Amino acid sequence: MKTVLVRAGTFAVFATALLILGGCAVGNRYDYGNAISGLPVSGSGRLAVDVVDVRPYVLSGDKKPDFVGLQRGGFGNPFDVRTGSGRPLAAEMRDAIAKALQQQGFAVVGGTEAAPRKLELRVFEWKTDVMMKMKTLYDLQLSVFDGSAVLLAQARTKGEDVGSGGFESGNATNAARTFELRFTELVRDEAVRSALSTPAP
Amino acid sequence: MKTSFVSGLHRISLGLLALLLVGCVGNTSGQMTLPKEQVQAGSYFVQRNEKDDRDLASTIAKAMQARGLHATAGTVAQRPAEAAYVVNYVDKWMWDMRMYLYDLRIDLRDARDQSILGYGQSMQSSLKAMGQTHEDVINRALDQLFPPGK
Repeated sequence: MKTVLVRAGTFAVFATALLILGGCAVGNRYDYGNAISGLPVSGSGRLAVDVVDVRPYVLSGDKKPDFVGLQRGGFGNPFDVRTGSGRPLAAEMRDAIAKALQQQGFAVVGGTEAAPRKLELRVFEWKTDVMMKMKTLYDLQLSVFDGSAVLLAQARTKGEDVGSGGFESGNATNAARTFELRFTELVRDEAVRSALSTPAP
Repeated sequence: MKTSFVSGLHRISLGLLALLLVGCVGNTSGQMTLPKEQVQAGSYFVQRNEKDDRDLASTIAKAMQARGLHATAGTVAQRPAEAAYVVNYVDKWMWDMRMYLYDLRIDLRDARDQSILGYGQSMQSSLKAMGQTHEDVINRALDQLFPPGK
């Protein structure tokens, strides 16, 4: 009888441990495709938009392009967080940027298509790390080129933001808002705004 | 042998309980990209969340007024033309023997183009929220957006 009790106790403890360690941490997804509600720039005409993911661990193949960060379990054990759509992070970020720029009057085309202006976001780092708090590591560079690929303006932001950690939906919202805030910060750069707003010759 | 195994199990159980209790906390976060002069001079409109039947918008506006800011609240249709900034919020409530405000996120946006300028957030567990009102939570989130004394 005692053995049965001990076995049941062991099972209960391990089941609880498993739940705590991985229950809310496994399979989290954050959607970046609708992250941007508005941008402080407006214009018209064709604008090529490209997002290039140059995160070292993605380039090396250690992580897949849809990797967006880590969700930690009860003892800090990490689980990968992926994009909401399962597509690469760069593709979701481009969707968000393209939608927002279209709202502001631009005719957004693909990054390789001919256009008098090209906007390129290079993602050197983008990773969230959530346990009790949510840390976002970022290093983003925004460049504006003319139709001949001459650089007109460039802005870069790098750092880490620490915010509240919670459930998956709240973390996903915070991750998207942090991207919106950081990208908007780059667009608000005077040289970038001017290069985007000035009509192409 | 069996006794030590059982006592080990007790220790693990206590450890797990402690781990659960550690989760009974709250935290805040926020950022503001507007310069202080613009923060003080601006006019704010707190836009009521359509799903909010507690009218937190009015409470947020009052808390902002208490900080010396010119703030009004209402529905989208009531937004005054002179409002330079729009304040949106997402409130998440939970039930644990009573309803409590689990997470409040307040976003500040430019009224002209809806671009984001800052945010303040306060998240608290059931234990942390005990004895506190949603006004307390609102003030904690606003402290992140408009840090006192800055």
